[in-house]
Amino acid sequence: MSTASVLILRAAGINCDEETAHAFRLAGAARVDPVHINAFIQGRRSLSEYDVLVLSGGFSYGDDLSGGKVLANEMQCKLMDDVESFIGEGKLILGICNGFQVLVKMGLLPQTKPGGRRQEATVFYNDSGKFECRWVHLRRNPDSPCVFTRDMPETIYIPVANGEGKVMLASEDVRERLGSGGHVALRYVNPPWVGGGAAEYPWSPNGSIDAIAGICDATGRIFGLMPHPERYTHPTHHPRWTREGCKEPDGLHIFRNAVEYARGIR
Amino acid sequence: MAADSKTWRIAVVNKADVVDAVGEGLRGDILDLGINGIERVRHVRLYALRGALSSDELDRITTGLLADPVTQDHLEMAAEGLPAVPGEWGVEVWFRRGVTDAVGETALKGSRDLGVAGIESVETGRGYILAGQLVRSQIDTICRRLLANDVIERYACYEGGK
Repeated sequence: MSTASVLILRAAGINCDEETAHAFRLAGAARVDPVHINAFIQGRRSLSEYDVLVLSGGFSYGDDLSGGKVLANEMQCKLMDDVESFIGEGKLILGICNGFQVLVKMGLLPQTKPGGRRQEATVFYNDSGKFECRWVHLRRNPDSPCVFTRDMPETIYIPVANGEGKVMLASEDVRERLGSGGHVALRYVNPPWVGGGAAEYPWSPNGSIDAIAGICDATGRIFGLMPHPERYTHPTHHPRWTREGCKEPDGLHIFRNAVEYARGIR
Repeated sequence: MAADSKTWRIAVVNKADVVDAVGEGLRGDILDLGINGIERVRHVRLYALRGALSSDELDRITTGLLADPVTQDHLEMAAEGLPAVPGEWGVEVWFRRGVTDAVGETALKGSRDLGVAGIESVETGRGYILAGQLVRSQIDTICRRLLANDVIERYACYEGGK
């Protein structure tokens, strides 16, 4: 069986690179490299060495201008040809939290119309005006082409931690195409004890339109989400593991799916 | 021919239908000061861009870096300052000379990433448009106790339409 090579792209302010690398190793990736973006800009390394490009969580460039914006521009201006080649070779891209903001602001997500990299959405300040850090319930969209959420349980429980997590769309047309194309892979939902259904605050932590938590492109190979699956990859990460017992960690599914798919690329 | 070096003052504000969580939070803080005449606060991000920039380069920085295309508008500020109308007060808060402006440094890096070589410096500030039944002494109280840190920042306030 082929192996999977995973790149965790680092930049100033990224702080979830090591736990994301750990999650991919747990999921069986043969090679996982956290590498600084300058190595690629300066030509010392190449994206072509890898099967999966991961933009992990953090506060790239301090999120000084807005979440992920400066890193998104840097990638667009200095690495876009390499990124387009990477996508064209059928490889995977995953953005978690700040990485999701980067992918959206690069125009790689949701990309509901083929061609061009126009920004169709944004990830904006939470309606609460606060940094929201807690565990959330998510429902998988079974009709989504998303590679990363295949065959996962219908609902999963993982943490979220952000101040800018509210997904907003450029137009109603984008909203319609998101729905018809199955781009919304994950949504926030109310927990079972309050009846399930579409999430409202605090179960939707940010006020995202249609309770969107994660989006993929039309191919399902580019995926971004605001919650942090890498923070639930061991049973003891669960906040109630001592009372409810050890369970299969929900976050691990996403990394296993990526590794399994990547093994088939080469 | 290269453009002359000058300073552009840019204001970035949320579009009308977008929640202004910072402004709403500040309104509550002003009420906590006992100033009950406050009705609405709009938060504005301010940038002073200095350099020899063409109009195309200025547009590239404002639309491609400083303002979010989905949720925010930007405008070049006139000499009279923020677009406060009668019944509103405009407040600008900027760093004092010599204070490190880390966000400005990031904006400078981001501008250069966009290929704008003529950019020389970026200063950042915060703007507020306060609406309500307010008098000058209350605005000063709000500025001194909430909006500006006098050790590192200076502020200017003015009544809209005057």
